[in-house]
Amino acid sequence: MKETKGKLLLVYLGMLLLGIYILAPVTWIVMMSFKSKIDVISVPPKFIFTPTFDNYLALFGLGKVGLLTGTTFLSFFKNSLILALGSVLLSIVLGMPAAYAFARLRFKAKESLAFTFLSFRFVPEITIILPLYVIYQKLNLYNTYTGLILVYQLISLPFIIWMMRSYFEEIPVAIEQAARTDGYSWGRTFFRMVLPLAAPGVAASLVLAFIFCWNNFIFGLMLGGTNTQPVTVGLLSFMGTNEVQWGLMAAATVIAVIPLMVLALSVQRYMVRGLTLGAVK
Amino acid sequence: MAKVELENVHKNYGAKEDAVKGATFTCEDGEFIVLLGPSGCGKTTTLRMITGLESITSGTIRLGGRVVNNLTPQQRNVAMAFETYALYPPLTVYENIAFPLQVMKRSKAEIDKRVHEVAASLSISDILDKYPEGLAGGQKQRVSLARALVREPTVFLMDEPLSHVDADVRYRARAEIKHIHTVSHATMIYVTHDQVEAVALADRVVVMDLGVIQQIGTPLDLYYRPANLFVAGFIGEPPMNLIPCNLTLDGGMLRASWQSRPDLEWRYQTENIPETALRALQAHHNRPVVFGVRPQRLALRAPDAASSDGSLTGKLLVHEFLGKDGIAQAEVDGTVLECITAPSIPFQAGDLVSLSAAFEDVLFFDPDTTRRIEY
Repeated sequence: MKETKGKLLLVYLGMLLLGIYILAPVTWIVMMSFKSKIDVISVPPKFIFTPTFDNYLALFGLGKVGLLTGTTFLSFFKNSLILALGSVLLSIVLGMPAAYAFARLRFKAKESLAFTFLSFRFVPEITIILPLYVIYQKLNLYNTYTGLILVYQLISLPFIIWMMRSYFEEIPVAIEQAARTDGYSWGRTFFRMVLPLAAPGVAASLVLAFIFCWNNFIFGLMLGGTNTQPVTVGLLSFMGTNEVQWGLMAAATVIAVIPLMVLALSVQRYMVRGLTLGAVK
Repeated sequence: MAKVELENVHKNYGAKEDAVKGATFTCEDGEFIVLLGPSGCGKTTTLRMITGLESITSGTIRLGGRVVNNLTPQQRNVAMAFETYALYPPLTVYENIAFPLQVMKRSKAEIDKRVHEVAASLSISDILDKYPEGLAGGQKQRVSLARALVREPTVFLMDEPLSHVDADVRYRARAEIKHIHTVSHATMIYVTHDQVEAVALADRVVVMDLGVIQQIGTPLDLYYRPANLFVAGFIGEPPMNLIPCNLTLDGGMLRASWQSRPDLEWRYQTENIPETALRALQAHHNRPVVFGVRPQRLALRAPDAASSDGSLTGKLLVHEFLGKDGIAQAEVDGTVLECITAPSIPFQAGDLVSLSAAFEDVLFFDPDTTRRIEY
């Protein structure tokens, strides 16, 4: 009995350490976002300070704390939303039928094709960025939403195809066949029977794809200009040649993370299942 | 209800061999046909081609005289009960049964009436409000039958509907299906790998193996007049005793001597053999045949009677008491023969016994063609 208690204590200790390890940077950023310019760079770091909303106000153009005006940050935020939503939307339109086909139909080279899609995820983005840069310049896709949404497909499409495939495969084929014998057309069977059954999985894959797109940095950096760059790239503009606006950067980071937190928490239940399924199949 | 006709129907999935090779049979209006065969024989594929869930590589399928080759399941108006039941999980039992009628856009009142009628006939009225997830196997199976029955289709197709039902309720479920057929006069095609089910339910059985139809016949036909070695071995429990022999027909005696031990032989005096049989067997004189006898028709006697026609002496290995009868295994020169006996027999394991079969209970097969020698 004593031994198990000791073990339990160790487990809790481990969990505590892990928690600190994961939460410390987050706490740090949140604290930083409420600090004044002086407090941010003070050594040793201050844990007790007078919080200020100046950084947040500045981001929304309500004060002027530094180089960047609030409107610019908001436009980065807007760009991120357009890019992530647009990419996920395009990926559903392209990826859902593909996922269904991979799950249900028999055709030649099926697995090779599925693997090809997955392999898009293996290539480090940095290796293709230069040729893409040249191509985008020539095709006038540089610094356009369309261009970025297209290149974001490298992130979201394989993901959506593979995750949705595993969800479709989970639904017994017989249910579809029954619906078709009972008089549903193929399309109606898909939209009225299969999709509702796969809905939790579909939602989870969409949210995850959205998060991956939102977090991307390199594509926006290299293939977008200030008009189209997402918030991840926008954060860089807080680093000037003379000074780094830590406080503003922290506040911007906190705001940029909020949509992801809300989404992730809302589908948390399905996400873990979806991820592990995707990993196994 | 309607007649179902298959004419030289093939199915190829892209492999070298066709999964179904030229299936041809007719299911008359109101007839109960069972497709029977081991797994992978093409029976389910055949059923799915009739349903329209699977395309046809070549051939013709007619429902009620109408060629339906290129019609969708919806257009064929067939109903199907699935092996895994395939109930719609988000719908209640009531909604599941009502579903096909709703798709057909029937009035609410009519749907309600039909659902309750069908539910009552299958005694599932008390679970109409439940969801499929919470139901027992037998209940799910009834709901799936109800969903198929509710719509009065041209033909009623069933894909191993009993294979997931618990053994203790299976025979009752089987009787229910038979009853439904008797009452509704529906045209039914039923797929199973269980020969007991097939024989119990069918008006006629279509036996398939390796994509080829082996025999089409009434359960009695299959049992007493199997077309070939496959059917002979597949139908009947325990299976038919089949022994490779050499046939000779001379000196007023028909002898089937064992290939493994030529001195062991089944002997019959030709004077007791009908003329037609003699003529047919004459063609196989001095040639190998397979000698077949059902365990039910192989008699176990005391060894002193061994001199009579068609008997051999063997050693009793084991005898099992099965209630209304018994089953014995006896060894003759390393070959085990099975025979159905009285519940108890006056022999012990290790005793010598005589195993005899009357000529009219014996079947001969040609080992080259595997076909039964007909007479």
